[in-house]
Amino acid sequence: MPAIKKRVRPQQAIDMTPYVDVIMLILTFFILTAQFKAELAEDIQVKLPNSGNDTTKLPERNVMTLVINKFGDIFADVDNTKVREDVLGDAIAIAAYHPDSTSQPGWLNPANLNDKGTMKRPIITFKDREKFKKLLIDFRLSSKSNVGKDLRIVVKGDKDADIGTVQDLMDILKETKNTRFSFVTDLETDEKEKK
Amino acid sequence: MASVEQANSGGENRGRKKNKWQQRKRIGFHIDMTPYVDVIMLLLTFFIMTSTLNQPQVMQINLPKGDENTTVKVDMGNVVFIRVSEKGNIGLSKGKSDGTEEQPIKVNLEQLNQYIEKWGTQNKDMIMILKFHRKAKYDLMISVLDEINRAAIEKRYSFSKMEEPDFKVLEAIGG
Repeated sequence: MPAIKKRVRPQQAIDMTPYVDVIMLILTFFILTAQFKAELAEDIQVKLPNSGNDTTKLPERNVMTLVINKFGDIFADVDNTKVREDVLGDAIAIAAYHPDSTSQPGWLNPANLNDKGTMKRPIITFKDREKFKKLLIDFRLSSKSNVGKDLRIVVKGDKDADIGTVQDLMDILKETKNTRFSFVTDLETDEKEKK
Repeated sequence: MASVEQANSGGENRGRKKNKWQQRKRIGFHIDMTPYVDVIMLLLTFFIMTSTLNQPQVMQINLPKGDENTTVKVDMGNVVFIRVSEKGNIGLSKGKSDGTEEQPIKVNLEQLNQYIEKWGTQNKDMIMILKFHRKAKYDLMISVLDEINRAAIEKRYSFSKMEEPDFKVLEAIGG
């Protein structure tokens, strides 16, 4: 043995096992709770209004979503592709109706609908009120025969939408005997600050 | 590390004989976990980014069944009118039994809640009639409905169309 040995620094190895354990736990949590955004949600963007004490959660399946954007368009969509194929003749299409004849439909300019400025899904427009009413009924009937379950109706309105459009939609729903529906809202978080 | 251990065991060998199991010390090995952690972190980031944490909530609405033409007679004394103007002002007025109604008062959302809660506890048969101007914002409609839902009373309300007399009532509180 030489008298003076080069001092080799022992390689430091940090034990990563506990770290990996924790990361794995977090990962498992996120995998299990992950719910992928519906196609519709990214295609037509709306700013939801806030409300304080709605405790019911948005149903996940068998939903007919009626989206109202700030241009006064109403989009009707169901989550089941079979029903869409059956009623609209296209598995990814979305139906649109503009109740106010005095203004231009917002979907004419795709930049109005979302940030990307393009629609992934084709829009099938309905000019006639009666045809749109029939569409809503057809959606429900088709869902009953194809899936065996009735559709739940949710109305997703933009904060800045006119109440008039919402009232028109409510009239349509009432006339098609859809008297139970829900408004989608965001939980009001800064409620105390507001008051 | 390993060299130290070997030197140790060599020294012990020279001395008294040791237990068979203690002699054979296994050289510790360790797996480099870094690539593994890298992949896990990527996955974690992906799931954090794609997960939607606040699931939207829904406000349940039940419209009355029946035709547009079926009218229900109610005692005007039980009726409370809530009108929302184009500018977003909320007018609140109480009906009287003789068919007329009291002077409207301009309220904000918090006052609206207090009034309907007060009136609702005084009169258990209170019916609220909501009249919104077509050009008012949907956000306000949800806020009004939210205040009604929040009040600790029996919720009976109906939506009604805004007509000519309603505009006059709203003018009294500044349109």
